[in-house]
Amino acid sequence: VVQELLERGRVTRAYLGVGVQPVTVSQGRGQILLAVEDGSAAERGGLLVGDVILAANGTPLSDPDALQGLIDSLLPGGELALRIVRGGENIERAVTLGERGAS
Amino acid sequence: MIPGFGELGERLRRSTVHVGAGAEGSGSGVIWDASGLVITNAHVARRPQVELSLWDGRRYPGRVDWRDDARDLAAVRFQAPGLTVAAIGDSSKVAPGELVVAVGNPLGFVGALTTGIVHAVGPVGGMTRREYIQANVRLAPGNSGGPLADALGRVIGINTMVVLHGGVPGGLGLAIPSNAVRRFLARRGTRPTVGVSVRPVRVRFRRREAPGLVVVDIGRGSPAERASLMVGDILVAAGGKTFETMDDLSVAVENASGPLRIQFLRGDRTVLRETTVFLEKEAAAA
Repeated sequence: VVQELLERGRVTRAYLGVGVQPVTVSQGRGQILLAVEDGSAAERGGLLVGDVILAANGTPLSDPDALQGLIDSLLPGGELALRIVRGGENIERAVTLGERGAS
Repeated sequence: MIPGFGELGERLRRSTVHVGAGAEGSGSGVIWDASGLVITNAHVARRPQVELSLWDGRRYPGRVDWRDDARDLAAVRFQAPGLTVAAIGDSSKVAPGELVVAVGNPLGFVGALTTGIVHAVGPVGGMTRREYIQANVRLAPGNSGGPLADALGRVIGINTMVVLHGGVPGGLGLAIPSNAVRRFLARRGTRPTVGVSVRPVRVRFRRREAPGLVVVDIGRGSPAERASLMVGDILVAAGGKTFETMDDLSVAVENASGPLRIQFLRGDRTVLRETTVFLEKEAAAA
């Protein structure tokens, strides 16, 4: 963080732009998207309200903190490879994280 | 003092539980029967899962089985050995002037006993249309959901709120009569249900933003499951009416006289889908 402050003059945080809640589907436990912010990384990446994210970068997302922890470990511009259940079918999406406060 | 009052108090104390709903509050409850049914206020059991603590310190998870927010009652189920079940009285026999006892966990005091006298039984003038047992018992927030008993220790009401009323110091305690609790329990299982849990969302469809209800849980073997609804589906209309508020699904269910047509979006939302749900009476204590 200190290094980052020296180089950029501020601390940047990676941001996805979703609201989630844990759910169980036949494929397992995951996080359902209840909100996708306009103009956010999530929207640009094609995520939809109702998508159930099962895993991100290979990490199962059985609790909401797991997703937040993963995002916090990355920088803006970092990539999340998501395993999603949409309409009962398994799909994969890659989302490039944005920056908190930026749109 | 009435002979044996201490024993009565002890039995009441043992049939009273502390109900914890995390940060959303806490209160008391009454062990209503030996199967592990606890009656409390709906405003105490705010979450589907609560923690019940017995008089002896044992703690158990409880599941809210049935609630009526309008009447402020909730039925919670849990399993524990050696329960002391409350004796339930007939609230229609309660008369003004009668000695009553309240047990609860006010301000963190576990199993605190307070006594009072019944002032009236019926609606509170200018305040409620529903019937309450009104007594000058000193109640604190932790009493909510706990028992009000007669001098023989029979539970005649569920302590629910305090109102400031005509010259009664500390206010008047209001309890939901035990017979109203019996009616609440008898109603259980008579309301039709779809069998889904939903959350309100905003959804864009056909270039317009609309309110929807996203399905986050489907009851096993429920009408919704048989109608092939899935977690993630976004319900947008029922019975031909587009949703405008999050209550609209339950209103449509209550008003339905037969199978209910539900329109919803799924997946990438290119089409508006429709399914017919054959509503069922709510299963009691599944």
